[in-house]
Amino acid sequence: MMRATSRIAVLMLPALVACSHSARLPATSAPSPQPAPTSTTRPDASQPATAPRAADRCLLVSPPVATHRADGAPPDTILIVVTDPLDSAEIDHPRNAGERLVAGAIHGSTQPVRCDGGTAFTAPEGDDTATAHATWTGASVALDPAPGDGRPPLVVRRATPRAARDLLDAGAAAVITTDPATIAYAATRPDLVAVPLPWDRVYVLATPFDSTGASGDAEQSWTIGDRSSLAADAVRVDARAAGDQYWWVDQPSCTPPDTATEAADAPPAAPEADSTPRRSLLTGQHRLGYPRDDDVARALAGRLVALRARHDPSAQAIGLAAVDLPAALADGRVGAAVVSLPRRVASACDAQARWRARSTSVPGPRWSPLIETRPRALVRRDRVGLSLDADDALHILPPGGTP
Amino acid sequence: MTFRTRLLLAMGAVALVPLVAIGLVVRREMATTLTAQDAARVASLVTLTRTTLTGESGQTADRLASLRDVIADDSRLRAALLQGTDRSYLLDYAARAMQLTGLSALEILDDSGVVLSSGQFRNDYGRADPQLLSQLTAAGGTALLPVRSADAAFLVVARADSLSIGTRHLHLVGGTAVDVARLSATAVDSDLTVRLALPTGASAADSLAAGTTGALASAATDHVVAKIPFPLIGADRAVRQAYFIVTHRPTALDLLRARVDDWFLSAILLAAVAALVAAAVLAARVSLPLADLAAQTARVDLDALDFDFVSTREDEIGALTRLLATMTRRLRASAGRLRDAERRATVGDVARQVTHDVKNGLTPIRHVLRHLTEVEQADPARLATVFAERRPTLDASVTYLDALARQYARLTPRLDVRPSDVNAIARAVVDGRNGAATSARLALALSDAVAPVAADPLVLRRILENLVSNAVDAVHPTGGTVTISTEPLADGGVRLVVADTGPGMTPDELARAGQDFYTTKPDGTGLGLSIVRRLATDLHGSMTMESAPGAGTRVTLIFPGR
Repeated sequence: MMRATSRIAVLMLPALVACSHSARLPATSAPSPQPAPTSTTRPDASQPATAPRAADRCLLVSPPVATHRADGAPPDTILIVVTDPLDSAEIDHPRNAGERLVAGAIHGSTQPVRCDGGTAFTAPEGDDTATAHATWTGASVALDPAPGDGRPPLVVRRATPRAARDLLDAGAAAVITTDPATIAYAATRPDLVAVPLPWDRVYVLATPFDSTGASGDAEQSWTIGDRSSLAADAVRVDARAAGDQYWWVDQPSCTPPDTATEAADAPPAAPEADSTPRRSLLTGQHRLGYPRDDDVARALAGRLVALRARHDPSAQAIGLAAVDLPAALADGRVGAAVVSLPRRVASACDAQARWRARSTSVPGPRWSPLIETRPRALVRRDRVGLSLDADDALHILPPGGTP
Repeated sequence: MTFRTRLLLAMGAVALVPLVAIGLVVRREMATTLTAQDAARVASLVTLTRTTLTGESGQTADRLASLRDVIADDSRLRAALLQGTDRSYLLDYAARAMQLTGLSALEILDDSGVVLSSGQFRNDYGRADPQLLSQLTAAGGTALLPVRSADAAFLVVARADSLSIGTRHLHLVGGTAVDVARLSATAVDSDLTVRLALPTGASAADSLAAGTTGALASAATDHVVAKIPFPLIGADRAVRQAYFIVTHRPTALDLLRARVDDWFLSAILLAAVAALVAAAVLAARVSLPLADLAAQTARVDLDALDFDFVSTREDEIGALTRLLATMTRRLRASAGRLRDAERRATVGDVARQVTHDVKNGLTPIRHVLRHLTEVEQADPARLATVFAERRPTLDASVTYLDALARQYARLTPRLDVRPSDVNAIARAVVDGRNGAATSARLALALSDAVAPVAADPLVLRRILENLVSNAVDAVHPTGGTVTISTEPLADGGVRLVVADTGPGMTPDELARAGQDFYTTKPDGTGLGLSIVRRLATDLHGSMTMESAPGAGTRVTLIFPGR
C-alpha cells in the first residue's frame, strides 16, 4: 500500500515539466513553470567547475572514470550527507533534495521522462528499474542495491552543517545543503564542485482562512520588492523572491465534499498575491510561529517580527514543532506562521489534504508566498557524479556510471 | 493558706522568676545580634550588587573598546559599509562579534541611529533608534536597556562606544544581560532577595524584558531593606530611575522569634510542672506527716493515753514525734499518780465524813445521857420518867446512826427520795440538842404552809445537823440565838433558813467557807458546809450564804417543788 502511494507521490509529476533549476545550469534550458523571479545566489556560492556533457542535459556532475578493481571485490560504500531533515515517514512525499534522493533510490524511476521535458528516454542501464533496499537508523538510511545490480551501496545521513563539513573532510562523496558556511567551505576545496539544485522550497506566510473575506488589520503588501529584500537580507541561503503562481492557487476541486457548497461562495483558498498580506500577521496572540528546526523559516519570522515590532512591541516569534503548526494556526495559538512548502507537488489536493490532516480548521490557511530557496550539492568530483530526473530526483553516479 | 499552697507558690517563684528573666534577656540579646547580622548581610549584598552592576558595565565598555579596534581593521566590513557589497557579512557581523566578545546584546548603528547590524536580533536591521545614544549619554553612559530578539526580550546593562570608518560614523551599543536571580543566589542569607523594581511609567515592553531577569519586584509583601538606584532607558527611550531592591522576608526573624518564644513558653510550662511535682513531693514528705501528727495529737486525753507516737524519720518531724511520745509518756505517768492521789484523797474524805456524821449522830445521845445522869443525881425518882421522855431521842439517834451506817456501807449512797416534812425534821434536830451544855439558844420559825418536799429525809437531817452544829458553834462562846425557819415557795418547794447571831465572817472567809477542809474551828474538819452543798445539790436544791462581821451568818437552802 505504502509503496504504491509513494510511487504515485514521487512519480506522478507533470510529464512535460522541465527542470526548474535549468536557469542556473549551463547545460539546461528548460523553462521555469512560472515567471523566473530574481535569484539571490550568494556571492560565495561556487558554480559547477565541470559542465555536464551537452548530450545529456540531466547530468549535473560527470562521474569519474572507473578504476580497475579486483574481481569479486565489493564496491566501496558511498556516503552522502544532507543537512536538511531526513525522515522515513516523509519519503512518500519528499520535502527536500535529500529525501528525493532516497525516494528515487528506493522506488526507482519507472517514469521514463527526461529531465528536459523531451520524449521518454531509455532508462539508464542498471539504474532506473532497479530499486534499493533501505535500512533506516534514525536520520540515516543505508541503501543496498539489488543483488547483481553492480552499483555500490549508498548511505544517506543527516548531519548538522558543522558535522557535514567534518564528514566531507572524512571522505563523504557529497553533501546536499543550504548552509552558507558549508557551501563557502566547499568553495575553498578544489576537489569539490558545488552544484545548485532546483528551487524546491517556497516559504510562505500562513494565516488562518477567513471565510468572511475580512482583510484584518492589513499592515503591508508583500510586493516583489519586499520579497526580494527578504530573500537578499533576511536569510543566508540561496533565495529569491517568490512568485505568485503555485500549485495551491486556484484549486477549487480540492475543497472537501462536506464543505463544497460553503466553499463555492467563499474566496479562493489561495488569494491573489497582492491581497494575501491583508490578513493580519499577528492577529490574536501577537505571535508568529515557525518550525523550530528550520533556520530559514526562523530568519524570515524574525524579520517579520522585527518589522511588526516597530508598531507592536508585543510581537514575538515562537518556534514550534513543524507538525504542530497547522493546529497552532487553526486554534489561534499563533496568529500566523512562516512555513515552507514544496515548490512542486504531484497532487496539489493531496498536499493540501496533508496540511488539513494536521489542522483543526477546514478549509486550510491562506498561503502568501515570500521566498524560494534551493540547496546545493557539494560533490567530490573524484568520487561520484550527479544527475537529475525530470521529477527533481537526484541520482548518484558511481565511478564509470552513466546517467 | 495551707503549707502545701505556700510551698507550691514558693517553688513556682523560685523556678519561674529566674527562667523568665533569663528568657527575656536571651530573647533581647538574640534579636539584637540577629538584627546586627542581618544588617551586615544586607550591606554585603548591596555592595555585591553594586559591584556586579559596575563590573558588568565596565566589562561591557572594555569589550566595546576592543571591538571598536577590531572593526576598524576589518576591511571586509569596511567594504560592506562604504561600498554596499557583502551585505550579509554586515548583517551577520554583530552576531559574530557578540559571540566572540561574550556580550549579551550588540547593535551597530549609524550616525542617525539606524540599526545596521544586530547581534541579538539579526533581522532587526533597518530599525531607527535615534534617541538611544543621546539618552544613554544622559543616563551617565550606562543604563539598563530592554532589548529583544525575535522570540524574547531581556534587560542588559548597556554601554556605548563609537568609531569612524571612512566617512561613516558608527556607534556600538552593547550590554550584558542582567541576572538578578544570580545576585540573589550569591546572597549568604537565603532570606535576602534582590529584585528589580521598574519605575512608574515603565512600558509593557520594559516589564517583559525585566521579567527575564529572574526577579522582578511585584506587589511587595517582603520588607525592603535597601534600594540601589540605576537608570533605565525604557522602550519609549525615556530615562527613568529603576531600583535594585534588596528585600528580606519579614517572616524570617519573626519566625525565629516565634520559635524562641515557643521554646521559652515550653520551658516555663516545664518548669511550672516540675515545680508543681516538686511541691507535691515535698508536701507529701513534710505536710502529710505533720497532718498525721496533728491528728494523733488531737486524740491525746487524760483518759486515753494508751498509745505512742512512733517515727523513724531523722528530720525535725521525727524529732517532734519523739518529743510528743516523751510528753505522752510523762502525761501517762502523771495521770496515774493523779488518779492514785485522788483515790487516796477520796478515801480520807469519806473517812472524815463518816467521822463527822457519826459525831453528829452521837451528840444527841451524849446530851440525853448527860441529862439522865443529872436527873439520877438530883432526883432519882424522876429517872424513869425522864428516861421515858428522852427515849424517843435516843431511838431517833440510834436509827439515824443505823441508817448512816447502811448508807456508807453502800459507799455510793442511794437517795431514798419521798415526801418529807422539813418542819418535822427541823424540830427533831432542835429536840436532839435540848440539854446540851451550850450558851446558844435554838429557836424555830416554821411555817405551817410548808408542804412536804421530795427528798431523802436522812439527807435533810444531815443538812440541818451540819448547819445547826456550825451555827451553835459560832454563837457558843458569847451566847446567841440560832433560828431555823421555813417558808413555802410558789412552785411547791420550801425555803429553809438557818441563821445565827454569831460574829459573822469577813468576805474572804465567806468566799472560802464552802471549800473542803477550810475551817476556823480548832477541832473542825472543814467538811460541814461542803457536805451540805453537795447534799443539797443531790436533792436538786441550792445553797447561798450571807454573812458579815458582827452581823451573824445566814444560810438559805431552796428545795424546789415538783
